[in-house]
Amino acid sequence: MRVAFTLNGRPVEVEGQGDERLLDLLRRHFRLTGTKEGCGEGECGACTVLMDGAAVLSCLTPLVQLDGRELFTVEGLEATTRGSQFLERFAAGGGTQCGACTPGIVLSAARYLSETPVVDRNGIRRALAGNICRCTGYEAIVKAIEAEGGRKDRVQLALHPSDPELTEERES
Amino acid sequence: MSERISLLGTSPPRLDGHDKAAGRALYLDDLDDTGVWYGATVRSPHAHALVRGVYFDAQSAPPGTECVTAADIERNNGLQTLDDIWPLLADREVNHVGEAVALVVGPDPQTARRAAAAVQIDYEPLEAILTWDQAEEVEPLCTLSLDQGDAEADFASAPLLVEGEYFTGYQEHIYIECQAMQAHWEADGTLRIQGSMQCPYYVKKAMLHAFALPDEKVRVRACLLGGGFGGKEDYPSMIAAHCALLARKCGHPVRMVYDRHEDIIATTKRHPSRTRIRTALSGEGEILAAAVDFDLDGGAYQGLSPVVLSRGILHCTGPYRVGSVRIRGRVLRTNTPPNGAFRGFGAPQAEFAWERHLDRISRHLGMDPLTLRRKNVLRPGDRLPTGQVMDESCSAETVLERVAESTDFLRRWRACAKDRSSAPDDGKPRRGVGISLSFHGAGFTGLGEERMRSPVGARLRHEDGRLELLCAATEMGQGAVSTLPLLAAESSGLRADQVSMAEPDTAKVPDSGPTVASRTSMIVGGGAARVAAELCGRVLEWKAGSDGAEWSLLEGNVFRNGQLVSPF
Repeated sequence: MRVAFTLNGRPVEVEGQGDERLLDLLRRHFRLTGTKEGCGEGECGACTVLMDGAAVLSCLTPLVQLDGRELFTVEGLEATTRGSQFLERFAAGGGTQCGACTPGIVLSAARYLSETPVVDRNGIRRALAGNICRCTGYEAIVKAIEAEGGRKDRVQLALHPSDPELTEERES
Repeated sequence: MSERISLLGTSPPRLDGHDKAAGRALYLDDLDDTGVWYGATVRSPHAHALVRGVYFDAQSAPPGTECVTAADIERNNGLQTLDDIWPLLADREVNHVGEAVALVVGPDPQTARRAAAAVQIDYEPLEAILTWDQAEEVEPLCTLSLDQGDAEADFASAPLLVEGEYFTGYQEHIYIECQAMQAHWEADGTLRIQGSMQCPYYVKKAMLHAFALPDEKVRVRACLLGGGFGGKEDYPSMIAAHCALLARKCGHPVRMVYDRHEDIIATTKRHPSRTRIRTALSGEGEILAAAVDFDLDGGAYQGLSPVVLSRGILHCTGPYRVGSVRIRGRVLRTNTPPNGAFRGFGAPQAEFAWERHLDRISRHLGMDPLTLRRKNVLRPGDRLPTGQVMDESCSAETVLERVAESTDFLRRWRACAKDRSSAPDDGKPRRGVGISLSFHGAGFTGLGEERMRSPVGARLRHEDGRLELLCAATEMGQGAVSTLPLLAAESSGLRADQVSMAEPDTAKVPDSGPTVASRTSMIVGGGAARVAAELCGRVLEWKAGSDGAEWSLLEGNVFRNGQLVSPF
């Protein structure tokens, strides 16, 4: 079957099997390997991406569900100025260790930070409830997100292709 | 010039942090797979069975796919670790569920999985050893004992004896990145391996043995690891051999990436343990003697078990003073997947049992658990069962006291005990609080490090003038690629950004030992600090020899007779 959707702000069309996993589509077809497979069954959150602004597990999302959607991956986040600055600060704050869970975590965090005017630790923990860090770096992760939430220039995504920041970044 | 700002104790950002956060960091399965074929493994559903035949139905298998069985192995069908008994592919007999019996390969993962369905195996199931009692009936995989003093006499004269039995179960590493490996045979017969592994030189050694190759014909590169925790110490050698067998058969580079289910089924775990402890005590709670029977379930093959047992034995009585000891350790054989390395390497099992036993003793004596530990905690001058005498660096007592104070332990323990004693016997759960103390040696135990004398190299790069560290330490989240340059910079007078690390590729770096046993910062880091200081020292000596001036390095700048000349 054929589906059309936007990927990191860019319209794309894909021909494939209806049950193909979004995770494989991203990694193999689009070569966007920032999205990681951890468990393949929706437990660990490593493969988290944003779909229409919501955090979803790409290992449990089949191609058949993608038509007309807006998808956003860690590569899209890095491509924006504020997103890239957030990732740099997140890393500087000790938020990464082995790194396998990190792309999923920063997307969950970016969604939370974009939707929440006043962030707090409980809210951060709830936002990350679906993301496992096996290196157990949660404290540094939560602190890094909390610090980001206190910034005026924090990561802020409209998560929409018409988001001026996204559009500007892609065109430049 | 005497002022020196220490880099150590500061927290500069990790060098790989932003790449990882941005998803740019490349793990094995992120590498371009153009022209790469994929392997899959057919595994035993039986814990113990004879293998009567393995058949690959080429008619029903997808076109082009291939199958490899034990019959295809030309050289050594054994995984070289401490021994080579663990087969790469089961031959006439399978000894655990999940044991690899056949391998298949196809141009993509889906096709490889379909090919696996075309393999049929004829088994004759046999009785399996699955319990501690059954395992005791057969020869152990290995044994080790440790004696100090006259335990028998101390037991005979002691006023109080306390006995206990303690069990721990399996533990799976669950590194977020599953096992992943790739093999490729070059035209000149060189086997090239890359993948997720803690120990590139272990993998190299296993390949040299399996394929009977000369040293220069095997090259192994460790990629970035999405976690290891010991789970990528031994088993990567197995997957590397499987990829290499398939690559030889099909003529393409072959990649294998386990899915989570297969990773849990097939790879090594923490050894389950059974510890029986008998202690002789004075009326005041001093531990006069301990007899410990420490058993580990090794699974079907020995693998790294003897070394795990050794570390367990060395930690059997924890950070406490014990008069005399009689420790007997065994690794028992069962028809379960072989167990292996996992953070702590046998010590957590032993120390868990010992700490539980101390609580049992404290209940016997009517003493709180802190007081019992205070009485017996190791102090400078005390001796471990190995004979090692604690020097002034022994901080066990300080740690115990700080924890007790900062947690207000005694008050909370008494409150819980009081609540429990006044609570009705209605079977409802009650609250408790405990305290425990542990110790752990960083680096190989015993004379391991001394024997290995693992070298770390350094060179000055022409391209950018940086000092490049050459060592086989892998980056698995612990921060080796940031920590080792920091140590080298600190010792040599460079800035951390003037030091880099070569990738852990056996063709580029010396065997600085495996990335295990919490040895990277302490042992490899020590080597990195020494070699960097020596290399920079030699450069300064050479400069001094050429003009008679005094040359020095400070915070990355070169000085001549105390005058700043230039950055390094």
